[in-house]
Amino acid sequence: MSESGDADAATLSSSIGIVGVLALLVGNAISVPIFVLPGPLAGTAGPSLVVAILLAAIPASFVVLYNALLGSAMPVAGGLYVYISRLTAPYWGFLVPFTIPLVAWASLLITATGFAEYTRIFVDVPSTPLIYVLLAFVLLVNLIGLRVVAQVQLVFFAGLVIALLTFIVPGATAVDAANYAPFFPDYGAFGLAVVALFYPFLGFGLLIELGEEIENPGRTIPIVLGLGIGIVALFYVALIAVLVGVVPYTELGAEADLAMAASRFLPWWVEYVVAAGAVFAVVTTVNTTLLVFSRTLMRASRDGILPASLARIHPRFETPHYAVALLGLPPFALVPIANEIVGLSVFIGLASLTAYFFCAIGLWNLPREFPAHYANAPFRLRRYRGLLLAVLGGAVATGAFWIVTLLQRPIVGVVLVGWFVVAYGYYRYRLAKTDRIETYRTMTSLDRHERVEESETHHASSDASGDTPRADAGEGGD
Amino acid sequence: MVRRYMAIGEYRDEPAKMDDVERAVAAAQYPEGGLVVGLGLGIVLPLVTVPGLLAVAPVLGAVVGFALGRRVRDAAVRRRRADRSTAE
Repeated sequence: MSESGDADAATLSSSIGIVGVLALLVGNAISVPIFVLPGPLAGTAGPSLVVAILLAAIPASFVVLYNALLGSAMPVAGGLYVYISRLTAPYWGFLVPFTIPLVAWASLLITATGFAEYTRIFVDVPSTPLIYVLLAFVLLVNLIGLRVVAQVQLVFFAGLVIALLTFIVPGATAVDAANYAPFFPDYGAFGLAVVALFYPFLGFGLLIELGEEIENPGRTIPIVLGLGIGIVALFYVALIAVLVGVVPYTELGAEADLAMAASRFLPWWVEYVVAAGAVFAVVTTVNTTLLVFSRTLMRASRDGILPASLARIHPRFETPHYAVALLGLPPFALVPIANEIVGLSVFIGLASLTAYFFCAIGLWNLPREFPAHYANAPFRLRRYRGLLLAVLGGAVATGAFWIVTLLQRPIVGVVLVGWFVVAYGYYRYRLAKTDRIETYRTMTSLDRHERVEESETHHASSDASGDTPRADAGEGGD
Repeated sequence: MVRRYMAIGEYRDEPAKMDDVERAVAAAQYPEGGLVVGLGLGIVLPLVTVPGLLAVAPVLGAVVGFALGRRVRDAAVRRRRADRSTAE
């Protein structure tokens, strides 16, 4: 399985430089929440949404840390799946590609709904046809391939930044302090908003998923993550503070509320600038959604734990077209639930942070399981200081997210854990169809081209760890 | 030898140290499957009975499920070894 995986990976050789990666990262991270989520969330959580986004940034920072450490130490395609399966247990890793379709569908539905609502500012047409148009567009672009996606992304990214600045800068002078009272109208809605607003930060996961396709990943990944989290956090807080500061929260609640708020304090044409920025942002987001997730499915397929067809590369476009179809087609049938913006966002936030919790466990295990990789990483943390704090922080945040979700939207938690049980059944089914020992071996080791030989280790492992790593720890465990 | 790393992550199986019988059983991921089933029961049961139990039941269910899964795994290893011995 690994040998064929090498051949498949070699065909996905489009490489992206630092500017392209930053555009992909920030464009993917800031678009959906900035334009689609604040309205529905502010309608119930009110001005406390400003605090909610700050709290959501805490687990997001842990995620950035996990991505930076793991992404630079082990740059591989299908990042989260590979890290978790190799560093914790195969089944935990398998949950990533098995749950990714649900997350991708939810993400597509949210962004498509936002696209439809903002597009209706320009043309008076029903939302549903616009949603279908966008879903079809996304499917087509992702089938064509990464190179086109990166170029389109740069153009859209510039457009959405202009639109955001057009809203935020004049808006800061139009804020009415009276709109910030009461600051916490509903504590339950506030808690749920924290979980939902974690979703907008997930664009940072894009980086490790594209590991193989990034030029000089050891240097590029830490730089763009540091820049990216700063840019995204700044935009988020400023935008939400303006939104709830210029319009009473009781008048909010719709996906296109940013444009409505702009019409309150800016010239009439600015509403169209904001709406255009939203359209750019939404398109940018859905572009990368399929792009990233399809790579994870492809990697799991190469490992033999998902059907082989998901790893097939289109001979002309060099994309995993079956995987893209799996992610892009079902949302057409799920359009009737597309207006459940908050519930879908909570699902995405909960599922993703749960995955990152396992990622944190994997990060703790990294120096022990793959010491050569960790020793070669451009930057590291001491095991009993930074790493331990990162793991415990992730655990506390994940537990808090689950408690809030089960109390406020129990159906989301039940669906997610129910899906995990289904995943275990499917995992056993796939195992029965393969050589289980070989599959287990594959899911606990790296491909040959991803391994680091001990002789390549430039740093003493002990300077990164509070302990002496196991001297006999073979890379890949085989 | 004294283990110098903390318990977190310690329950991960180590494929490099397993024989084929252990790998075949470990592949089934009994403890992990037990944890998820236990977690699910720990969520659903309080929701349909006493919602206040949501604070502890999921964790309790997960721990019990994981422990049961480890017992099942150990039993499966013993059974496979016994079968192999009988065959030889």
